[in-house]
This record gives sequence, structure tokens and C-alpha cells, in this order.
Amino acid sequence: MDGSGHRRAALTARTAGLVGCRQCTRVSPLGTELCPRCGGRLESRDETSLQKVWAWWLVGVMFYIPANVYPMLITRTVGRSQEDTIVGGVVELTHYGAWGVAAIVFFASVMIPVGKFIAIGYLAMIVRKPHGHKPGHLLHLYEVVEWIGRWSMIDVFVVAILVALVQFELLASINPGIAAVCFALSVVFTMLSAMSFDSRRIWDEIETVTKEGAE
Amino acid sequence: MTDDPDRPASPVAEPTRQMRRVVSAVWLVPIMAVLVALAIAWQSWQSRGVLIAVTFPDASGVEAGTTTLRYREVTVGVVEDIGFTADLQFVNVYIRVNNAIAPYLDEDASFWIVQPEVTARGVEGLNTILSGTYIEGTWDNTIDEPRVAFLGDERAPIVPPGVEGTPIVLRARDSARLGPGAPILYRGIEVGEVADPRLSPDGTEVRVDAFIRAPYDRRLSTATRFWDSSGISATLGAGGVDLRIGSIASILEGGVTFDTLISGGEPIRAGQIFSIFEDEAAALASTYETPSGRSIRLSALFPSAASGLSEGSPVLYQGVRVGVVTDLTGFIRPDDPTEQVQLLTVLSVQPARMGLDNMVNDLDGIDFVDDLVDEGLRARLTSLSLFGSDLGVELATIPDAPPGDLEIGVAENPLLPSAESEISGLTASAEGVLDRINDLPIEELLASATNLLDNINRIAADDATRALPAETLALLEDSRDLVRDGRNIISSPEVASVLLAMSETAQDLRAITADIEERQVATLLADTLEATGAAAANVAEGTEDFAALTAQAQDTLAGASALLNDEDTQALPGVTREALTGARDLLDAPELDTILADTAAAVADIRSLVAPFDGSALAATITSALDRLDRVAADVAAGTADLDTLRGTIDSIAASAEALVASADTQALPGAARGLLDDGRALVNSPEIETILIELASVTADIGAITRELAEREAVQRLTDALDAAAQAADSVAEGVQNLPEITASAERVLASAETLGAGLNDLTDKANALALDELVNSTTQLMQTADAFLSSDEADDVPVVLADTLEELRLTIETIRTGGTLDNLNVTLRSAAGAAESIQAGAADLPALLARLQAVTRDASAVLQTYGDGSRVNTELYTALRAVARAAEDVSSLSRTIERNPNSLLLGR
Repeated sequence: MDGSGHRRAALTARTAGLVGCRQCTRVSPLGTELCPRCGGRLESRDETSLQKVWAWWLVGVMFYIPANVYPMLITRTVGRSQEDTIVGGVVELTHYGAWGVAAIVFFASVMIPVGKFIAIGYLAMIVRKPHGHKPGHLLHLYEVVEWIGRWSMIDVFVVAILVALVQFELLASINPGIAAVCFALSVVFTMLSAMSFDSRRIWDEIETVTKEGAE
Repeated sequence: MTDDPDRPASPVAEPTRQMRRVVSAVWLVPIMAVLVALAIAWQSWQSRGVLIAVTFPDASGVEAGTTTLRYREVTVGVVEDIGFTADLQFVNVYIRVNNAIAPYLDEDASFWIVQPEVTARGVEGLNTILSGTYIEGTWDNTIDEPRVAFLGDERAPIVPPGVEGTPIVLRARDSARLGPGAPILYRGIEVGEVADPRLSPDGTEVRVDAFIRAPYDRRLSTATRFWDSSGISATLGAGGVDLRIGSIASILEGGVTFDTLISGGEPIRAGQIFSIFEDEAAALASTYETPSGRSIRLSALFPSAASGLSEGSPVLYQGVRVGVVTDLTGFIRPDDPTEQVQLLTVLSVQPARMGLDNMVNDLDGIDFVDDLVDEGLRARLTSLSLFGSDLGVELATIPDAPPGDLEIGVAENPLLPSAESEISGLTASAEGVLDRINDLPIEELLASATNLLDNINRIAADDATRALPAETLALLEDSRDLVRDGRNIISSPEVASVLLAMSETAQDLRAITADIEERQVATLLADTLEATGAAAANVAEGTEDFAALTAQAQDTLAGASALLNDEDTQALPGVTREALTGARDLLDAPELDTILADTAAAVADIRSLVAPFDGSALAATITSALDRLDRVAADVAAGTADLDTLRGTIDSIAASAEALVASADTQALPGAARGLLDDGRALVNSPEIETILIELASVTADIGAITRELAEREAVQRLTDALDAAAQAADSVAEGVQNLPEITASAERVLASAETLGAGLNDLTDKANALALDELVNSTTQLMQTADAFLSSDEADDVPVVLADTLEELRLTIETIRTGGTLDNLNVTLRSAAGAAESIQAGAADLPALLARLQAVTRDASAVLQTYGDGSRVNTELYTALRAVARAAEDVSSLSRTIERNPNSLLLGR
């Protein structure tokens, strides 16, 4: 996995005139349309990958805006209704002194989504042209983004659980705000964006650099 | 290309670098998202609603973004922002109102903040505790020119949203008892409420918007009256205490009641102004006020200051309020020489309420009042309440008022004549009563009562008082003994024997009665009565000349008077005195005893003489006596003819009596009488009287013995004897009557002498009265004193002892009566009495015939009396004679009284 150590050995299938199946990993000659083993569609490089990434990324960012502007939770306790946005809730928690909880919420609801947007955007930006970064680091970044994506829904989970539990009619009730839906959609689109990224592209440009460096 | 062992052996062909630009379909997603977002934004922008600004004094509980605007409890808007007006006086609440509602928000829209509110009438806005404060709005359902700026109300408008009714305006002098939200009651039902009171533009009164809900606002008309029904009203008047307590809400917040008391009102329009009256009575009174009734101003002068009369005091006419006192000032009449300050009251009076129908101008009213004044209308102060603290002016018609006119020109207004006031009434009476109580001599009374009680104490503590019960007990024991003796007497055999004797007597009586029946006594009696009737007729004829008789009697009296003045009459007392002395000597003489013994013997003889007559003989005697009486009556008729001569004789008697009265001895008689009285006094003082009394006691004892003796004799036998004698006497009388003319002559003589004597004695008595009255009284007083001294002497104590002895004798007598077979004899006696009664019944059968005869006698008597008719001299003279006889009898009686008073004058000759 050490890129620098295997620079010389970084022969890609594409370079070898092959194309690997992304499902059963059988390598077929370049140009083969379908995988002879699993029937999967073979494609050396997804030409529309970055487009998809950017499109999903854009939708995710779009949904992230109302997710922060509109209230996430609508809490009604004995006639009084309180609407909390994500950041507002964090601020309120800090006011109550619940620093730990505030940190968790802030981390899960703000840091991670925003970090994902930045990470995905950075990867999609950097792979278009040759770059000097080590492909291994980029791959790690991509893997982290993909792995952590599922945890981004923690806020939505909390909201869903609270809404299901706290329904005491007049005394107290918690309803999801419009921001919850937006936030969930934002996470979903962000994950789609991350999945749309063709991680093989990370290596292509490195190859180019190596080639240039060799010349 | 390098030979790299890592490379696959068969390199594939160099991939053709496809430079064709492929656009992913994923791009549709963000495009769709943007489109949807834009659509949503556009839609929300479109339906965002209209932002209106409502200005409130404060915005308690209102939160931007949370507080809603509701219309009929439906949210139609949300508060977006809260700010202040430029001068920070008010709060601007910016409300985003739904588009569908916004067009209706025109100038009639009103907004208020609904908060939980607890009032006396209940809890309102309770739901806001849970839901939070909200803003309620109301507006009508017509689309008008929309507005965006409104002035919010402090509280809900009195016209609730969607409630039909009529808004009105109430007018009051002050709103002290009228809080916002106070209920309007119609016969106890809350039919509306009032809003915040506010001052009228000119500041003279308070106006309150009010609202009457729909079904009840039909009760409103121009004749409707509102009055204050708030709280508790207590009225103390002559009719008692009147206490009215409204509902709790009306006590706390006040309230207004209305009613349409009279018909004839016109329909009202919204915003009609009504006045609030003090109470129902005032409202009722105002009903009768004719709004067009003109007032005239009159004045009245009252002599003194009258506290309690003030501006606004009522003017009453026949109990009806016809006006009001508008001014009070001191006033001096210009034509009053004493320059006395009087109280001038100015009265505003409505003549229409006094009976004037159509008053065109003030002059009509003044003429009308002038006419009433001519009929007696006067102004006077009158008390309105029980204790006279509130005064009013009463226009009273006083029937007998002194003449007065409506004076014009004295004061500013026509001056009503005033009458004396009736203010004081009860107060004055109460003061008078208190004064009298004050004047009562209570201290003296208490002192006297204390003395009295002290005396009673002393008496009660006295030993004699304590001895009383014991003596009473002894007295009762004596009484018991007496009753026991009485019982013993009744059960004695003597009583029985007495009753037996009575029985025998009754049997005799029955035999007599039977005998009388046989001899037809009744028939004879009838005849006798007939004769008496004839005699009476003659008498009637004789009594004609009454007037002349009177005149002659007067002459006779004059003669008698002259006689008394005569010297001979004066000498009469002296002669009488000598005669009395002689009489005393006579009494002292021992021959008197002999005479008495002879008399007793004579009586015994008479008794033996009468004894032979038994019962049957008696009846015969009575019969013959009646026969003779008949003849006597006939002779009387004949004898009356001689009465004329009798009158002449009486005349001469009068003349001689006159001479006698004029004699000097008669004059001396009073002096002798005086001496006689002095002697009497000396006699009473003498010790002999005491011995007389002692002897009297022994005489009483003797009488008791005599009584005993008499009881033993046969009283019935003696009665029979007496009747026999009476029959004989009657026989003799009958014989005597036959000689009536002679008797009449004798009577004339007797009368003449008697008249002379009587006239003398009469005059003597008069003179004695006139001359020695004082001395007589003094003597009598001394006599009484002496008698008193005598009675208080020790000898007087002996009298009761003698009396007790007498009673003891009486008891013994009754005891002897008791010892016979009384009850058996009584039965026999009663049987005999029954027989006697039967005989009387048989005799009564003849009574009709007897009555017939009696009637005939009466007729004859009437004829006789007619003969003594008017003008008869007999009549006149008989009258004179009778007068003389009467006078003589009077004189004899007075002489006998004098002798009775001084019996010792006979003894002593004085």
C-alpha cells in the first residue's frame, strides 16, 4: 500500500491493456464489454464519474443548506413549541453545560458532513489532472470518507428515535422539522457522490507523473 | 513503451482515447432539486400573506414567530416581528396574515391580545395557559378597502365576534360603580355588557359603550330606561328598610338594569344614547317626564333657615314631583320694615305636571299657577324622610289659607305665598316627650318609695304584726266552735216542735181560707170597691177649685208667719218649758208605775176579750167589716159636701195661728231651745250616762230572757187574738164612718189645733236654725268629742263582753229549738201549706166577679173625683187642709227628733 515503495511496480491494468471486473475482479482484455465470468459490464475508466460526483455533491450541498437553516426538531412541551436548528441546538447544549453532547452533535452533524463535502470535492478536483500527492494517501482519504458516510446519519437517527419515543400529546411531543429531511437527503446525496467517485482515477494521474519523471 | 516484465504478455491495443464528452444523467438530480426549491420558494412567496401592523400599548406574552393571530379560534396569521413606534409609546406587532383573510381587514377590524383573565364573572382565555397568548381579531364579512395598520384594543370588544345585537351608549354622571365588563341585566338576565367608561368630549359626564345581545335588543326603545343596579342598596324610610343585593358580579363590577317601563317608545338605532339613573325609582320617575314639558321659575320665601333644603330638593305637588329647587339665597323683602332676612328659594316647576295641558309659553304657566294660588295653593317646607333631615318644597292647597297672591315684581321670579311649614312633626314630638321625662320628679319619687319601703319594713318587723297569724288562728278556732254549736242547735228537738207548731198554724190558715170562700168574701169586697169608686167620683168633683185653694193656703201661711211674729208665740217656748218641767215631775212621780201596771192589766184584758174569736168568727167579722166599709164609702161621698165649711174653719184656724206666731213667747222659744241643748251637753257629760249604758247591757240581757219567754208562748194563738181585735176595731170604724160629717168636723178641729201647733213648731225650728246654728254645731261637736272620750273609756270595753253573752244566749235558744222533732213537723207544716194553697185557689175562682165589682167601684170613684173637678171649692180647700196636715206632720216629726236627740230634756224639764 505504500505508494512510494511501489512506484515502480504501479502497473495498472489499463497500462497492461486489461480491464478488471469491479465485481468479481476477473481481468479481461481491454475492450471486452462484458465480464465473461459474472456478466458484469466492464469499463476501464468511468468517463462520467466525476460528473456524477459533482452532481451528487451539488445536490448534497443544496440540501445541506436548508438542513441548517430550518429547524431540525420541533419540541412542544405543554403548549410551548420550540424549534431548534442543528447549530442552535448545539449552542443551546453548550448553554446547558453539556459540552460533551454538544461536541458529539457538532461533530456528527456539522464537522462530518462539511468534511465530506470538502474531501469529496478535493478528490474530484485533484484527480482531473496530474498531482503530486501520493495515491495511497488519497485512497485512504477516500476510504475514510466512504466509511464514515454511514455515520453521518447519526443526527437523523437521534431525531427519528426521539420523534418515535416522545409523543405525549399535550404534555410533550417532538416532531421532526424540515431540516431533518433535508439533512438526511444531504447525507444520502453525499454518499452517492462519494460512491460515484471512481477511485481508479487516483492512480492514473500518478502514472502520468511517474512517466514524466522518468522522461 | 518499455519492456517491463510486469506487464502482461499480450498487450492489448492502445486504447483509443475517446474525447467525446458524455453528460451524465445524474445532473438531472441537482437540476430537479433546484427547480423544486425554486418552486417551493415561489409558492411560499406567493402565499406568504400580507404583513399588517397592529399597535398595542404593550405586547405582553406576544412572541415573534410564535404568537398567532386567530379569527374565530382559527389561526389566520403569525406574528412576524415586534417593534416599537417611533416615540416608543406603543408596541407594533407585525402579523403575517393569510392572503385569504387579508382582504377583509378593513377599518372595522379590531385586534386584542387574549390572555388568561380571572374576573368576578368567571375565567376567560383559559386555553391560553396551554397554548400561550394569542392575538384575536374580529372583522365583518364584507370586503372593503384593506388596511395594513391597525390600533389594537386593550381587551376584547363588547361585541363578540359573530354575535348579533345592538350597540348603544350609556350616559352617567360618574362611573364609580360601573367597571368595564359590567353586565347589563334585563329582569335578572345578563343580556349584554358595558365597555370602558370614557369621558364625554366636554368632560361633564361619562359615556360607556354597551352592547345588548340579539334577542333582547328588541326590548329597547326610546322609552327604555337604564338604572344602576350595582352592589347593595339599602333604603331606610317610613315604609321600613329596603335592602337590595345584586349578584356577586354586580357587587364587584357594578351593573346596569334596563326595562321598558311604558309603551309608546320608538325603535332605536345603533349608538342610541341612554342615561343611567340612580335607581329604579328615579328611572320610573323619569318615565313620566315629558321631554317637551317646559319649566317656569317661581320663588318662595320661607321665614327661617331650613337646613336640609338644598339645590336639587324636590318640589312636590299633591305628592308628585313637579319640579326642583334650583337656587337658595337669603333675601330681604323690599317692603319689609323689619328687614328680616328670609330664605328665598327658586323653584323650577313644570306646570304640565300640575295639570296644565297645553302650555304655549311661560305666561300660560304663571297664569295657571296664579289660579291655583287663588284657590289656596301655598308653598311650604315639608319633610321628605322620617326624621325630617331632608326637606323639600311642597305646593299644598290649604283650604282656609289667608288670602294671598302670586306676587310679581318682589323677587326676580313670581313669588308664591308660603304657609307655615310642617317640618318638625316627629322630631318635635320626640323632643317634647323627652323634656317631659326630664321634668318628672324621679328623685323625689324614689325618695318617697324608699321611705315607704322603710316603713313597711318596720311594720313587718313589729312584734304585733308577727302576733297576727296566731290571733287569726284563735279566731278561726272560735268560729269552728260556733259552727259546731249551730249544728247542735239545728239537730235539737225544739226546732222540730217549732216546725210542728207552724204546721198547725198552716192548717188553721187553710180552714180560715175555706171559710172565707164559703162566705163569698170576694163578692162583698167587690161591692165595697164599687162604693169606693162612687166615693172617688165625689172626691173628683170636690177637688175643682185647686187654684183658689192654693191662694188660700198662701194666705194661711202668711197668717201663720204673722202668728209666729206675735208676742204670744214668743211666749210659747216658755210655756212649753214649763210644761216639760211638769212632764218630768210627772215621770218622776210614782203614779207612773201604777199607770204602767194598769196598762199591762188593760192589755191583758183586751187579750182576754179578743180571745173568744176563733178563725171562723174572724172571717165573719171581716165580712161584716167589709160590709160596713162599703157603707162608709157611700157616706164619704155624702160627707164631702160639707168640705166647704171645713175650708172656712181652716181659714179661721190660720188666722188664729197667725196670731199665735206673732206672740212674744214664740220668740222666746229659741232661747229656751238653746238652753235645752246646753242641758243636753251637760247631761252627756254627766256620769249618769255611764250608768245608763251599764244598765243598757242588763236591759239587753233582759230582752234576751223576754225573747226566750216569747218563744215559749203560743204566738199563733196571739195572732188570732189580734186579728179578732182588729176585726172588732174595723167594725167600730165602720160604725164611726157612718158619722163622717161629725168626724169631719172633729177632724177640722183637730187639724186646726194641729196646724196651729205645727206652724208654731215649724217657725220655732226655723228660728232655732237661724239663731243658734253655730252654737248648735259647736255643741254637737263637743258632744261628739265627749261621746268619743266616753267610748274610749274602759266601760266601753264591757259592751263586747255583754254582746258575747247575748250571742251565747242566742246559741242556747237555737239549741233548744233543735231538741224537738223539727224535720217531721216541717213535713206536716208543708202539707198544711199545700192545703191552704188549694183553698186560696178555690177562692181565686171567684176573683173575676170580684174584679168586675172592683171595676165598678173604680168607675164610681172616678165619678166622685170628677165632681172634685176644676173650680170646685172642695178641691181647693182639701188641698189647703192636706198641706196643713203635711206641715203639721213634719213639725211633729222634727219635734220628736229633737226630743230623741235630747231625751233628758223630758226628764230634766229643760
